[in-house]
Amino acid sequence: MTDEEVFKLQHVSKEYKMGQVSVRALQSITCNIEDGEMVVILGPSGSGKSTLLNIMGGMDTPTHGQVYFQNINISTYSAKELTLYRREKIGFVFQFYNLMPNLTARENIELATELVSNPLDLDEILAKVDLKDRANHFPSQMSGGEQQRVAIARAIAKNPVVLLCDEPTGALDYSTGIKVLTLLQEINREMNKTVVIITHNQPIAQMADRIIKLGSGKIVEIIDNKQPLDPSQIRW
Amino acid sequence: MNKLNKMLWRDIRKSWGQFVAAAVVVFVGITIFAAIYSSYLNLKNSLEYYYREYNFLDYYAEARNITPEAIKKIKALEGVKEAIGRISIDVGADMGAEKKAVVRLISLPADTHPSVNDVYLLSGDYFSSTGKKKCLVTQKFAEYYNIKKGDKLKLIINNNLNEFEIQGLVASPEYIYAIRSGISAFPSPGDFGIVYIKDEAFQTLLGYRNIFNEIHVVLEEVDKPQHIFNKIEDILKPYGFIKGIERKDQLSNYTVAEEIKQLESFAFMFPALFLFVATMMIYIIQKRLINYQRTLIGTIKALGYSNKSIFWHYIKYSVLVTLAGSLPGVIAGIYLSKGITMEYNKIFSIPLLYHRIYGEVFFVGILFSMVFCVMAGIQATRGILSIQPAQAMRPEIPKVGKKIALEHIKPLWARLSFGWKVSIRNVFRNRQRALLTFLGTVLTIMFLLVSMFFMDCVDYIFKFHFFEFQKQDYKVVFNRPVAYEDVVELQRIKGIKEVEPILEVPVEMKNGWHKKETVLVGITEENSLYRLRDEELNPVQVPTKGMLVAEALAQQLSVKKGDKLTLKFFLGNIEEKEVQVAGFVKQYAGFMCYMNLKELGVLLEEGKFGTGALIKVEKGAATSVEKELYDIPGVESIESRNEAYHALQEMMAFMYIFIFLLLIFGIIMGVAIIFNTTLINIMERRRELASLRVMGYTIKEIEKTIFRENALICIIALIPGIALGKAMSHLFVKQFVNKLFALEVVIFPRTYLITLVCVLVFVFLAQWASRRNIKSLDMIEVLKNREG
Repeated sequence: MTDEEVFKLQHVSKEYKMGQVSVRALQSITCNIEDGEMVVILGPSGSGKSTLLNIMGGMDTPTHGQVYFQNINISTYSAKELTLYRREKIGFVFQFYNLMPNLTARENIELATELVSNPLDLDEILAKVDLKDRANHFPSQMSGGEQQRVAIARAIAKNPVVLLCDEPTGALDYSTGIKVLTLLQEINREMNKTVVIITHNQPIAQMADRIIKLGSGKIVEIIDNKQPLDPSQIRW
Repeated sequence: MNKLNKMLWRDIRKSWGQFVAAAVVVFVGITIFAAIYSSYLNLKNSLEYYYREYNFLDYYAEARNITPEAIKKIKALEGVKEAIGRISIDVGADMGAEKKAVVRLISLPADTHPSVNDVYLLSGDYFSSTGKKKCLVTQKFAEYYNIKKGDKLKLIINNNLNEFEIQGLVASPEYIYAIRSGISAFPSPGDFGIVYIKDEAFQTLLGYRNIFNEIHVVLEEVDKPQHIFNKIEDILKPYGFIKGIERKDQLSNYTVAEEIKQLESFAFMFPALFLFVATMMIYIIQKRLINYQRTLIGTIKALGYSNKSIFWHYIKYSVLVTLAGSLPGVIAGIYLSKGITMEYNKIFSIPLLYHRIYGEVFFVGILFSMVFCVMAGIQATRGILSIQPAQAMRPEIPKVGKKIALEHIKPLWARLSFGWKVSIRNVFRNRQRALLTFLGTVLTIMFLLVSMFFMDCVDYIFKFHFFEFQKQDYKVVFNRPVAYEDVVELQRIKGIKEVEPILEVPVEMKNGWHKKETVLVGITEENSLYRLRDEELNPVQVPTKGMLVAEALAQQLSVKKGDKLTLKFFLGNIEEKEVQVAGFVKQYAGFMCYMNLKELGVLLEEGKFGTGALIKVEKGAATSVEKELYDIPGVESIESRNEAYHALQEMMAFMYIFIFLLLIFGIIMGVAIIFNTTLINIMERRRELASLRVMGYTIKEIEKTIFRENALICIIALIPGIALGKAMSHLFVKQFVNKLFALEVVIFPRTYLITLVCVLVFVFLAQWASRRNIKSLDMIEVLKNREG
């Protein structure tokens, strides 16, 4: 494992029970993600990509295998250690934004900044996501794109090492989706954050440095993309 | 404010109605608690203070001839602080306007206040060495007859009328609850009062020469004073010892102490019911809020918030509900307690009664509510700890749908309309939600019953005592025993329809170590003015041999039918006698024993005689008969059944106010519970109801479905609610039963009907109040939103 590696996954499997059905969501996943990379995990629904993201994000633990984050095995972390890990290292962006409906945009971001000792400047972030004049609006008063930008702002405000994005454009129309992707690329390039996006939407993969293709809980293919596209060039 | 607190605050604002409903129930519970508990502390502390300041007795004894030497000997005993001798006899008083009453005449030293059982002067002055024929009168008695300082009081002593000038009005720690004897049960200031005269007046009037018939003692602080009492009794034996009574058994103190004890347990019992309901409500609200916010909890966890901080975030809700209810509750309760405390002095006379604000009321009240409510919060919130953040992000596993049991009973199921089928399925499939409404309704029914049962119970017992058992218009008591024939003579008075002689003898009944003082009443076999009933309420007559014992008294003495009781008489020098228990009679207050008048005469080694008479008058003749009776010199007192009933009713007004308040609180709680569960029902089913709207159901049809469900649950809740109500009533009755009173759980059918109607009205009200929530369902928004 090199210093540049943020994640290193070794034979990671996950099984869980939903009601009376046992689901094998992941089967022996081995891969790594490097510092500052833009990675897209691509796969159809049910391929296990959300599970993989949850495990990397310390929201879930693998049934078998090891997950290393910056050379430390997090798969043996206790719930308390995982909480601290999520708090300090990870920023999440969800498909349905998951904003607190009774907090304003600014307060939603503050909900995250209150947790850490060296958060990013709130106004700078609001400017970055272009929501300065919407800061005091509640989620219900904002469009989907605006809500997702608040969610991204909330994720990076803690100044995390990695941004994990679960179908960030899944609930958005094309042009809004592109804007969100552009924002993510800027965060990757300008702020030098590792960004992992999971999606079922093939064209989005073109903006990645590396593409991990998943199918039925297994890695199908890993592609190195020598010439990532600018989101504005992507069409779907 | 940190962001989690802000979220909490906005959550509360959003579902304001629920928060307020739960807080109101806490408020009501704690108001009752603080009101009763403060009153309890006020009474208890004032009483202790009064007893201490006015040297209330620790022990007193009655004996026939107590000499100053005997008192000296007792005073010299180790552990005895003070001892005084005094004379106390019951005499008649002519109150004018055709009224006669019994007064207890007690001697007091001239010049100096007594060192035991001092009197509290409310007006006027204490005795001085000059001036004979002065007296002090207890305030309640004086108030009843509207007499004051300077007025003359006519006492009938040894058949002579003696006038005493009232020098002042007093209260005494000995007569806070002024009843003549244990069988009186209720104070009746028109029939009984206490009059104090100077020692020397007694000596000359009654021929007592340096002799007393009572000794009152105050002890030093001693751990186990029983041996001192034994020594006193030994000393008094040669002086004609009759009986010795400790402070705890002293009639007034016993009654007041019982009342205080009841207050203390009520202070916890009633509020506990409310807090139990509040606990349920908070649990339900919290549980629902957490289910509703599963995804948000997941998100917060994903952000890196710890379990502890999320847990606290949700616990704070129950803490806030508790504080919002209990803080104003304590204040309102303390305010109310002032009135309650003062009301008590309408029955009691504690001149030093004070109202204070106690820190412990705040402390106990808030702690009491916190324990209940925070437990609910913890119980409801516990579940989120085990949720993994990723789990919280997944939708809940859909519930398994299957047929309910009723669907298998085909002939019945087939007859039901579609609407009813839907409602019934909803009730039985969503058991947890149905359980909420069910429990809420059960508790409401229980509370309504418990409040109303008191009224039924008191109503029933009064009617039984004054109308079923007693049929006379007047009871006349003579100042000395009279030959049977002379009593019958009363019949000659114009307007008297019936006269039945009675013979009342105070007596101590013993069965092994069980001892009780009571009155043995001799009545004629053909008596029809005292309608005795056995335990099953069948009419009974006094037997020719043996006696009938009041059921409650028999329990206290632990005797069975056929057992023999040893009787000790306080009159003359009659030896102890054994009498067989021939049966029991039902009585709720004033537990007495009954036997054949002639037999009792024989038992007392005398002929056939009486001490009084029961009288029934002809219509319209009451006033003239009263006047005639009043003019008979040997008549000591005339008690009117009607007046006694009304006096008691007036005294009970206080209790009715209390019950009325409870009922109001119960109604508030009932509406709050059902409103809350209805609201939750609607909120939880927003998606389902919105889908119905999309399909084309009207708002009315949806309301009908919900009402049907609630009504169905209410009907199911009726039987357990009534059962629980009855069980609670039994528990409350236990608190009331003591030496003087017996209660029974009596609930009139009317009460059940009122309860049912109330609950249905609550369902209507709750639905009407939550109507807005159904109307405002935004179909598109609800169906689009995952958290909807």
